[in-house]
Amino acid sequence: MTAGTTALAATGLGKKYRRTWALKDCSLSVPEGRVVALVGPNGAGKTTLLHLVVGLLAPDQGDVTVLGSSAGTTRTLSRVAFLAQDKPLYDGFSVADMLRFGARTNPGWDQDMAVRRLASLDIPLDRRVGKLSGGQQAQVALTVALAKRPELLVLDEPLANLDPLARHEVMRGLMAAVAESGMTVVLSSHVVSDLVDTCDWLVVLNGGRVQVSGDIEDLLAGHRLLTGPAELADGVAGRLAVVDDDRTDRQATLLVRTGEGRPPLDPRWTDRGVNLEELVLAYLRRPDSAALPKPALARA
Amino acid sequence: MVWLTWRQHRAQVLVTAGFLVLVGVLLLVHGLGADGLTGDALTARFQSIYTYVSWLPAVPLVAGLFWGAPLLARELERGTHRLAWTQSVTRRRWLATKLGLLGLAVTVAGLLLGVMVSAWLTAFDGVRSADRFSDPVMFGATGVAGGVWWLFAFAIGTAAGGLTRRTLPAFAVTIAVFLTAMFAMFAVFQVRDLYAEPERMLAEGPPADAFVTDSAFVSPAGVEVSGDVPECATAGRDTYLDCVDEAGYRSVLYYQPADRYWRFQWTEAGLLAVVSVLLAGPVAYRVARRPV
Repeated sequence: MTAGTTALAATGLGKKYRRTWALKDCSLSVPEGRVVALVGPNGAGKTTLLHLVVGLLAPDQGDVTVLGSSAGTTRTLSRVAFLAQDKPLYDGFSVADMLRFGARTNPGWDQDMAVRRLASLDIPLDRRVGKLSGGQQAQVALTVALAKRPELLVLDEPLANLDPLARHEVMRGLMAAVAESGMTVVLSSHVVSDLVDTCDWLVVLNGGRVQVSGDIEDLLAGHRLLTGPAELADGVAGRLAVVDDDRTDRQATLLVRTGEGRPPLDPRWTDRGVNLEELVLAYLRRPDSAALPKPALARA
Repeated sequence: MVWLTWRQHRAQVLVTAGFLVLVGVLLLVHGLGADGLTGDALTARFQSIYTYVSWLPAVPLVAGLFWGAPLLARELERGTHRLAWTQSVTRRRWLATKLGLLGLAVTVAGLLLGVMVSAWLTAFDGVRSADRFSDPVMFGATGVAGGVWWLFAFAIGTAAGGLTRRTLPAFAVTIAVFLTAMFAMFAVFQVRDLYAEPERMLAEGPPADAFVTDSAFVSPAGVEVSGDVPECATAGRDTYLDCVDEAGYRSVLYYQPADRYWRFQWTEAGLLAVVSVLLAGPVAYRVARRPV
């Protein structure tokens, strides 16, 4: 796995359900070895994008390339693992049957790893899947995905419908596997706080379009939150790329994209760095004003 | 994939096998009980079970409902298609394996049932309706057509499941389409009469085992009359046939000779196979090529 190659690239990707576009003009590029947070409000097109990536859907427009090949082909199927939102498993199968399912349908299946992982989670192999708790089912589904030994792991809302303890366990198990294998991970969520500690690449999807795609550290370093007198706000807004603009009669709070370094400002302004949640919220609040940060695309 | 197909559908395999064994034992016991009987006693023995046997044409629905309908509908309904179709096996191979193995299994089940019914029928030689050729129920339940009727129902079920994406509506559609197809083919259009031009003969009665499709009277001048004989228009119901006889008319029969049984079987099998492909083909193609 060489650094600098592209795990995932979409160009002009679009998907239409009947007459509405669930995803439109979606272009992004994610380097290998990243843990990508795909965030956006409900209905933003996250699931559609992920289904296009794993080949469950075919695009109506543009194309998506996964690990250098088209999505959904024989070549990519064996290298990409997917955990769908409802964590589907065959209810009537025993846990051992689920592992056998994985072994029979995947050439690179790692049975030892799967058995070890389930043993460490105290999930009995002879138990019927339908009789497991929600958290255990999520762990079995994740185990099936991980034991495939994928180069790209795609998880659609992996933490949805899980209690806090199970969320923590799933995330910890996932991160351990990522650290061990170095695979690229794409996980979607509409809760940004779930992803803060684990992800290093951010993609913001809103209304079927990509708003942000970039390295999280670079993004945080490249945005600042300015607070100052409302009468000076227009001047600042004219000079800097404003993402979000929140004004009262006297005070203005601007989230701006500064690029490298701090912009020179009137001393009446205070400025500070932003955190991930503020950044995401700012973009989501302003679907029109936002632009795709160019450095992120160029770097990839 | 073979293991997966078995693991997912073993319940159907076992239940269907159990059903065939049950039917086999019943027919065997009933057939053995006819040993030594002749004439009216034999006919009575046959009639005693005919009410149940007359349901044989609906039996292939087992393949449609329990094998075909859930094949796609259950996966789509429970979202497990997102699991199955994101493993290393392509959707095309997944579908080809399932359709191939399960289609083969239901066809074999239908053929086995046909063999059992044929064997049972040999115990009732000479009984009317106990003929695998002239009786429409027996014809469809025996020979190659017996197997292909199961395959046909399986194709309907699969297509219905792929279209409705839900098991219960797929059941309803399967039953409706299967019964409509059967009714249209054999009650409305009577397609079996069209498999071959019938033979015509002037006779007192049809040759043994022949499949009589039509009959008429022929005047002494050699003219065939359809409907009532004009000379006997005023004759009563009891005296009608005597009147016809006295007027010099003879009856003419149109029939399919018994040795056309296999030709008819293959014709029906081919016809159903084509319809099966036309029904399930587009759905299978959509699943395999155009992701859902």
